[in-house]
Amino acid sequence: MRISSNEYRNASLMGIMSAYQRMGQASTQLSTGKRISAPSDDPVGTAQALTLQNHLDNLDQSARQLNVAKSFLGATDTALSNVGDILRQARTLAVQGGSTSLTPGARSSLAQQVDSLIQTLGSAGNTQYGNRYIFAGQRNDKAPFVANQGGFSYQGGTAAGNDGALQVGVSPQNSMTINTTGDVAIAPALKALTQLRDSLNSGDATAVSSDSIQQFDTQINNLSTLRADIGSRINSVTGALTQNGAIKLNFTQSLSDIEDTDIPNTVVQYQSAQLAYQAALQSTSRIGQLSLLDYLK
Amino acid sequence: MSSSFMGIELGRRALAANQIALDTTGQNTSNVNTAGYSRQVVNLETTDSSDITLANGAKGQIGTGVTVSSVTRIRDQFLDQRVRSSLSQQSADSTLSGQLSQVEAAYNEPNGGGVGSLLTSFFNSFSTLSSDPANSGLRTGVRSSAQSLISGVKNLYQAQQDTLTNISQGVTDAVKQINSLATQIAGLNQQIQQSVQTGGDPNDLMDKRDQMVQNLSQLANIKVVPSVNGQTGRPTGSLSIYVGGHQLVYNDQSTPIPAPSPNAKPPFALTEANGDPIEIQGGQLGGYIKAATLVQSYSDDLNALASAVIKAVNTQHSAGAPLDGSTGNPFFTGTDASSIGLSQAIQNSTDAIAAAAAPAPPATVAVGNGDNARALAQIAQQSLLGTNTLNQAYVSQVARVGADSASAKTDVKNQDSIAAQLQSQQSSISGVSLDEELTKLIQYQRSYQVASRFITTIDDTLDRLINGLGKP
Repeated sequence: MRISSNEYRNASLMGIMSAYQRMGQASTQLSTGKRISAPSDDPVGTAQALTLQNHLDNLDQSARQLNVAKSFLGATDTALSNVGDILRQARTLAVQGGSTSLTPGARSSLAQQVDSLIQTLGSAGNTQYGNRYIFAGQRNDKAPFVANQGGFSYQGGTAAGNDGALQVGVSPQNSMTINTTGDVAIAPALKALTQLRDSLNSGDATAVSSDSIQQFDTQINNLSTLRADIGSRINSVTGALTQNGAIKLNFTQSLSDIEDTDIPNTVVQYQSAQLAYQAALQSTSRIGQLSLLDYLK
Repeated sequence: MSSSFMGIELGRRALAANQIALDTTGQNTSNVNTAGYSRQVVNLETTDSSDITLANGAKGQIGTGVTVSSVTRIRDQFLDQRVRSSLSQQSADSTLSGQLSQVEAAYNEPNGGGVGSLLTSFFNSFSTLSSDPANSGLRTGVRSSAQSLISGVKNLYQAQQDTLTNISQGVTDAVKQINSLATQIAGLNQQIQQSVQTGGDPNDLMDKRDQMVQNLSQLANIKVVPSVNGQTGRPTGSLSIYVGGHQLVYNDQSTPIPAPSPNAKPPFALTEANGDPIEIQGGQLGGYIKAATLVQSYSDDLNALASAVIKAVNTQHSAGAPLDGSTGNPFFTGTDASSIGLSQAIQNSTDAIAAAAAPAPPATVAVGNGDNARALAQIAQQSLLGTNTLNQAYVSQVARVGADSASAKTDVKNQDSIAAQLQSQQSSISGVSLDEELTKLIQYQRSYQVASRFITTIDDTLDRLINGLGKP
């Protein structure tokens, strides 16, 4: 077959360019660490990578929300444990106050101690997490327990008012209540303490020894049920966080498989492209010098 | 009986013919790098022989030398046709691929900087806000991720519009070039026709014209028909050229394609002055028109996505209550990717973000209520576009752009190699080979030398005859 001089040069040039282009592609993949630098490099892979990335973003968001839930539940649990201490102290005082042999002075001193517990419980009910009152339900910008005629009245959100529950979306599908309101957790204890103080002040030993002790037992019992519930929620959040981490690891691996450069394979591709490039350069420079002119006198 | 001086005439003819052959070799080697040049060959033939009477009285014939019958170019018209159609396709594919690569780059995927991750961040910012709705830092987070989303969508939309503007400019330029080539080809037609009528071989003019026709084929798919003399049935030398049914060149006349209106909308289809469509599939023009159709559809998809986001978010946002307890407040302004914006109220204050469920009167807004923010975050999970969530719809849009661009790239690769192969065939037929020309140079040089020697020999014999006869 006849070969024109330009055709030979064009073919050489195309060989050089195509080898150089392949070398460039492999080099980009190696330097960026990514196999896909534009959707057209692998449209299906791109779609998979974007979908996985979306799942990963959602998992990160879930993890953030789970941690928010965990901290808030933890703060609630700590505050409730203080309430438990107060109730046990109050019960001890009630046992002492129930004795018929007490002098009115001793009784009055006990009443004062109970009153001080009432103040402590009131401020425990106004515990803040950040600048939020944790027992105020959704009305958490204001202190829920307000001093009121020797006691406290509750002004926070309630389940009945539909403004009690603080919910956190812990996954795209599910949300979880992370709080308990003061009307459930604190107010009955306050009521019991107020009654004890009033009974002590009025010298009603029977009310102190029977009603109050029984009330405190009930309250202590209720409180431990409440704390058990919160503890189980903390456990489930912790479990979900662990699971979240495991799934994330899995997805991250899949994402890497899809979009990251297969280094050994690409290095081999690079080397073979480099070899082809060198060969094209050499053949062009050597054979291109040959001409019939060199042999004519 | 032939003339005594016949030999000198025969030698002169040989000198002249070989001189022309040498010159042609010179022309070929000089034009080795000229685009569109076809190598030329000298066709030699013997001149009419002369009668002689032989000894036995019979009639014989004696040769009278050589002459150049024609200088023709070596060209395969059928191959030209195939080269042109493959160049049309290649040019269309590479134009399309170039435009799609630009559009594709604007998505900034899969590097994670695209609208998809902005959408996810936006809805996740609502989810974060829902767990502490009174927190002004989280409210600011919602506002800034909304602003990022808005500018991401607008930038992508703008990039698509910019590409469409470039395409429109490209179409206008291509039409101008086509019309200019048409005028030049018509002019060459006239010159070639005249030369052919007078029996000439206008090789260089035809090369020039073929090169222009080839350039034309890169701008649009064309049909080339050689004109034929109606009476003699012989080619007149002219070419008629059609672009998508539009007769662009007929003999020495060219009819320009009407310039597209500056207000033309994608896909910038071309029409005759009377409004009839000019169907263009190939060449740069074909590539532009196909690219415009695709880019417009990507832009429509983006608009659909943006509209769905605006509608769903505004509906849910209006149902909830900002800190002042009012309802019916939109989050976004605008209706699509070009007009999407943030409501003035939220730009002024993040308190206007309706994170809470609307309170039942006479209750006031509970600042800790994040029900509406959570409902807004849930929008990300809803099938708002057919069976797709917003993110799924976006992913499928990116995948579509990627697949279109990938297939355009593959087409370019294939057409490149087909066109290269055909051009190599064309070059192998019509291209100049320096080695070949050098060989011919030696060949004709020798012939010229021998002709000179022949004349000298005849001269010597005549000298003997004229000056030496009769002398001792």
